[in-house]
Amino acid sequence: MKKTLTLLLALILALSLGCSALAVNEDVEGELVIYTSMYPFVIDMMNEAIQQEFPNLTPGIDGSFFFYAGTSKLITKIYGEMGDKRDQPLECDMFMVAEPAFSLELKDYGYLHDFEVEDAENRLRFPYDEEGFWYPVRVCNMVLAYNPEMVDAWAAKGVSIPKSFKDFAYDPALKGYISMGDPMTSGTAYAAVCSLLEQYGEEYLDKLGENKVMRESGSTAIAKLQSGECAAIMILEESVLKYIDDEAANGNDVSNIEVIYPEDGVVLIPSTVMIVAEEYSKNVNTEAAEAVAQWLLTEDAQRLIMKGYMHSVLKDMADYPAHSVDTDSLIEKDIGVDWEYAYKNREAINNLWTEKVTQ
Amino acid sequence: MSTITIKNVTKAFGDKVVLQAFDATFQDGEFITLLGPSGCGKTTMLRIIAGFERPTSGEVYIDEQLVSGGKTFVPPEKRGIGMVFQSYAVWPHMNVYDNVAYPLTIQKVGKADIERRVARVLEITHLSQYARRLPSQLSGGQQQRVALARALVAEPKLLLLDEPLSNLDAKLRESMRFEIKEIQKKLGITVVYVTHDQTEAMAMSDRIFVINGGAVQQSGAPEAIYNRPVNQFVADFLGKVDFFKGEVKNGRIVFAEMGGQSVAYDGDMTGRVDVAARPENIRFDDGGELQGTLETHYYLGDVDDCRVRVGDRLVRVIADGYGYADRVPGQRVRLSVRSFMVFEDDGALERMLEIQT
Amino acid sequence: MTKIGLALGFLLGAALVFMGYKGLTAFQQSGFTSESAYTVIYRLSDAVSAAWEDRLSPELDRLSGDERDKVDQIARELASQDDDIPREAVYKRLYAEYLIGGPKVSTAAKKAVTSLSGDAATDFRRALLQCLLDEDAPVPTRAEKLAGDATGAERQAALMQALFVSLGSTEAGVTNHVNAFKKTVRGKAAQEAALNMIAAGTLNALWQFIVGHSRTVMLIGALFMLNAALLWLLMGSEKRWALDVKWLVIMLIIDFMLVFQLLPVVYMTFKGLFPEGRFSLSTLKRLTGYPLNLEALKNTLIASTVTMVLGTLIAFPLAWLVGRTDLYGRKFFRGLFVMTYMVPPYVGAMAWLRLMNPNAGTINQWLRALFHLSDAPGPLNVYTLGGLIWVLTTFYYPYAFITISRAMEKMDPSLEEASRISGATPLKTVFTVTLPMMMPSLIAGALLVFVSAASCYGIPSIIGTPGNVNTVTTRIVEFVSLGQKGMNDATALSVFLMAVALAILFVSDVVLAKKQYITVSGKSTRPAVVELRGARLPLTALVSLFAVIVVLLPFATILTTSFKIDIGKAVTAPGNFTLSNWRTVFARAETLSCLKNSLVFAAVTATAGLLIACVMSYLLQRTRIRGRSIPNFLITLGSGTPSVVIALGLIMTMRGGFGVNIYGTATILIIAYLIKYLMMGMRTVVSAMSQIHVSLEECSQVSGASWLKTMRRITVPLIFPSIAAGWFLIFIPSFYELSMTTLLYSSTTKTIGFQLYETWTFTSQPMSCAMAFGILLFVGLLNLLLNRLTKGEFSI
Repeated sequence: MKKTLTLLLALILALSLGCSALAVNEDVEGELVIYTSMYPFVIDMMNEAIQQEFPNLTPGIDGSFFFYAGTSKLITKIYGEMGDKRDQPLECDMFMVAEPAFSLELKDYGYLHDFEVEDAENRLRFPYDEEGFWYPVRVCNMVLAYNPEMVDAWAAKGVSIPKSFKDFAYDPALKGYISMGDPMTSGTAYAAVCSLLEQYGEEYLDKLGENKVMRESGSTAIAKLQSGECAAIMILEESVLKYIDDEAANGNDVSNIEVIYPEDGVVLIPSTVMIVAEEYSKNVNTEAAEAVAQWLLTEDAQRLIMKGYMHSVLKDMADYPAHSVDTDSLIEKDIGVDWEYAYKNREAINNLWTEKVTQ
Repeated sequence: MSTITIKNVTKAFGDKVVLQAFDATFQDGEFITLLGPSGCGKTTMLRIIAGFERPTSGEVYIDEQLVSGGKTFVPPEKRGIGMVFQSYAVWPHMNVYDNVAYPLTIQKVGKADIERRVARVLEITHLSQYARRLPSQLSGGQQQRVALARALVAEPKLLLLDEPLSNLDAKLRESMRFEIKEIQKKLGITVVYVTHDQTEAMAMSDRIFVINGGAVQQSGAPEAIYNRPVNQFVADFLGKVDFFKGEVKNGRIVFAEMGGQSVAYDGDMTGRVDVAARPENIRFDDGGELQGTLETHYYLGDVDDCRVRVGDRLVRVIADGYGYADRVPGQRVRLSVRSFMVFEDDGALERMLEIQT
Repeated sequence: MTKIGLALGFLLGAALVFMGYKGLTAFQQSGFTSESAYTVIYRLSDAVSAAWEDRLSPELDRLSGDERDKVDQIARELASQDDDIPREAVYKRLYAEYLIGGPKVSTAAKKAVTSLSGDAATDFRRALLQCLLDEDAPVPTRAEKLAGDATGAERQAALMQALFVSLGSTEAGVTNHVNAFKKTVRGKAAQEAALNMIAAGTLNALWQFIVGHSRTVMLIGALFMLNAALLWLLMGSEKRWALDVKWLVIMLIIDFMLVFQLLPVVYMTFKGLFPEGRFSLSTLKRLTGYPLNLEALKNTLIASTVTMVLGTLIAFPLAWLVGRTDLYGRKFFRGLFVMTYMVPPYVGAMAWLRLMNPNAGTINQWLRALFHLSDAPGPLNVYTLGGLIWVLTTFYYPYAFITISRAMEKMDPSLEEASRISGATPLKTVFTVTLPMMMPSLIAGALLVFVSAASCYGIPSIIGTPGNVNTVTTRIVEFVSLGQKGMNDATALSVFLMAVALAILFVSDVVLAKKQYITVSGKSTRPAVVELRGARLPLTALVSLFAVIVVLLPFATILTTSFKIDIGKAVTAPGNFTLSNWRTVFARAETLSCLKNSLVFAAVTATAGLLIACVMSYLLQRTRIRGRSIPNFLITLGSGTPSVVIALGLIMTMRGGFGVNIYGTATILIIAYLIKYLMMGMRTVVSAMSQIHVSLEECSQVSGASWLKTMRRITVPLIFPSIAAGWFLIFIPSFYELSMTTLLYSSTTKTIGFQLYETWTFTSQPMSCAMAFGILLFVGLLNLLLNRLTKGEFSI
């Protein structure tokens, strides 16, 4: 009996697929909730776009498809919802948060739903899960930053602005004048540390510790560049780009914060999209989730992502975020992160960090 | 043992004047009482003497030394005064001994001396066996005595008491009155005592200052104030009194409200008058000038408190308790007044009665 | 009589627990994902039955016996049901199957069929039935999309489906039920069981309610039992068996506290001590193995203790000077000193960062210029333990200040006057009389400072972390970010903090018990003013200096930053001054709604908290029941718990696991704030009540007033200043709370604290400063307004 009905379904689908793609999107209905740590203004744009693309899809949370929180807070919330035995259902259907290490963790816990993205191999220029449990959907870029207006003042003190990640840690003149995110609480900072560990070994952490690197959030670090408290900071490119853009909007064409694209490479950190496994999802709307995930990898959606100062994951995308540089050129310089390694050795790496840098 | 001189002290809080032109000298060793109803300003005056309030104008001298006035002000801790507060203000975190010894420890008196003097004063106040107790373990009367002991231990020149007995029961009040007076006589200390209880005032004072509305109505020995009050307020405030409205006519005072009856009068006042007579000075007298009917009487053991209807008035008469059985309500009786006071009818009585009701 | 009632109540509770338990077991064996599946099944069952009885069955009955049998046979085959299942069940099952797992039918096709009604619908159905019976009968037009080209078994299936579609299953309610079904019944086996239940229609209303709310039923039952037992004990100890409003109120509040305050915190503690279900100190052992953790423990203890001592040392003289002497500008200073805690901790921390960072701090620059020091970093370094203590002290001393001030106002002045007249100077009087008398409120204030400093996260994360000064709270957050394993570590670490808070509370209670001083005696007294005379000017200057350093400097920094474009340059630098930050802050519509949310949540939290505090305080001090100080301990426990742990506890316990689901609502935010800040109000009310003589209340009772009336008309007005102070002590931090809000909020419950942090992290610090200063002005105005309205009674 079920078989016949399923055949019927296939028949009907086949019939309807004959119509335009719009008809498919009209069939996407039900509710959807996405947990994300993207900028709120990007979320606003996405909300509108998704509603337009899928008119019959209902926002799952008080008029919005998205629930926003900072990455580490969001991860904490997710862990809380999973419960201490990791068997409780979540209050969302999809995630757009954090990097592949987190995705691997969720995959191990059985909380993800696998799905296929058309022609992923040819369309994406960043790694994705072979089994289809996660795909990159936006790219963050860890770089350095400095204050061009203060270069002379620093030079007078005998401090020169670092040109590479290596200088950042190894140049003793920078001692006490550098700052970065805290890998214990920030996924991107953690990824950067893993990457640099691989590149330079444990010595890199020793040098960071010797240079008394300060750990804090991005916005605080930018303020310290402005005030002259720090000479250089390690920060996500998007924070600086946004700052430059805001300044331009206020009429300041010459920004006092600029990106340093380190000579020894950048750390590209893709952020993934994941779909919650049916048994744990809130609205059990995997069809809608898959449709939205596919949409996220279309050109339109990727342009919205670039408006949020992040890079696109599509191979054919020639554009890049305002004030930045060509994505492909960055990919060439990417030091890269071994995500499996980062995931499996979190505790060991954290201990290493603690030992060498924070004590 | 000192003299207090108060020269024209006034006190106002903002627009409100609470003390008007208080002028007096308290002699060494005198027991002075400031007597009056609540809010009359007596406590304010006491606090000015103590140094907790500054006079708005005027001066206060203790033993010829200016302590409050003009630009001079000696703070309370330097005036050498002992004070007993209405709420006792005994410190709960110290035992009796420490409470009483406190003034001496401030003066850095030697330990042996402290022990001696504290023991002495505890004996005077009958507290010797409670020396190690905490105030919370004492009764109200005992706490009051601790306050007294503390006030006396430093042998102050002057002792101030602010309604110290108002929280005690009647019997205790009476015995404490006696004790305080005894101690004062023994030590010869000058005392300024504030109370609203006229019995206390009469029993203990050398001189009483009757205060109302911030102004001193009369000052003098208890007998003088009692028998020769200068106005209706004083007459009413001390002791019991009957007031009558009368008119002086031909060497007699005629009482319209008592049916036109009259008594002989050879004083100087004329016209309308307020007559005050103390009930104990009105006697049942077969030859008396006033005639009336006994309505009720209350037997109080030592006296018979009677109400006699004379004309439109109900007159209070205090008679000997011994003859209670002979007086029967409804009897026609005659009254004579052996002594009465006459005041000008200037509306003061009405004003006073208004305030009271 | 009452005893019988209580016994009955107890039995009723037991019965509820039992029923709930049975329901829970039934659910756990059912394989459904959620208990509400039962309710959904019940409703669907209703809908299916209705459709059968009203629309399908009559049609079938119209057919002849043979025809009916034929259709029945088709149905049975489609449903793959055996012959011994009654035919009604077969159809119902088919219908249910279609509703829930039926093939996707395009919206257009569906609409074509369901838009029929009345006679048209009936005709349509009859036509379909005919088609089922006769292979060659033409398919009605509307059904063509569904079954047009199919033949044989497929055709029959399609026709049957069309039949069901036409039964009008698109009512909104049914669609909701179907969606709910999908969420609560997952997995094939479960769905099979559910379908059978729908078909059988045997689920009754009572049972579905019990199972659907099994945990809530058990919870209510447990509360009944507990209340009955507690009332028995309470009344028994007082030997008064009259059921009075007082008991109801107390019970209600105890229930509230148990479920909403105790449960989340105890749950987390349990997890810390019993990881994997067995008692084990292994987590604690492992944690103490890390030298970093030991260092963090040490730092926290040192920082909190020194902050407590410093804060109290500062607060007491200030309170005395401002409340008891003729210091110039007393009223002004009083308002000023309480302002430092009206801004969120991280804003204050940022200001100090700007002022005292060793490289470019403003104060450092001044000092270097003043004393002609070299350009090297320093001399002051805020990124040290000392710097942390400094910022913590400036932020938290107002708690002690407020507690002490209020109590001082109500103290009987004749106690001090007696000391003065005994020859002691005002200063000596302070030490021998005032200080010992104020000890209860001093200790209460100190405790507040300690616990707040120990469980604070914002300040250590901004000031401590960059300088590698780690505290327990920052370590906890680091652990939490580590993942699941880290959660256990985090909880274990927070157990430590809770233990410390409890220890301090215990010690303070022991110390206080010996010194219960009644100082409010019912005689209305005017506090005497101590004249400072010669010392007046110098002391005012000293206090002013303090005010400038501790309050005005950081606030000025925040204000000037809010006008800057470039933080690095002075606000007076050319082109650096702008009002745009302020304009944006006020222009955003979201700010207004966030402000409203914060106001409401904080006000509700403060009021509820005060209510609870009054009742608990009464319990603590006016009754003789054993164990009456337990709620007190629990409240302190909550306050000593780091915010992130509270939030996690709430996430884990308030999603229905214990019968209560308030996730994503405003209520959960309020509960979170209550857990964290209730102690503030509690301590001020308790210490105030301890200073009132019980005779004042007894007098009211003798006059015939009920307990409630006495509380309302005697006790509360007497301790009103402390109540007002306590209200604000809860209101302010709830108003701009951040850590818990980020984890528990939802789109409609965004608060201003959250907004502030967003601006801080994503927009710009100048704008965030504008917002913070705006909040400060707003709260200040609120205080002023309340002050005016209540003639000075109700204000900070």
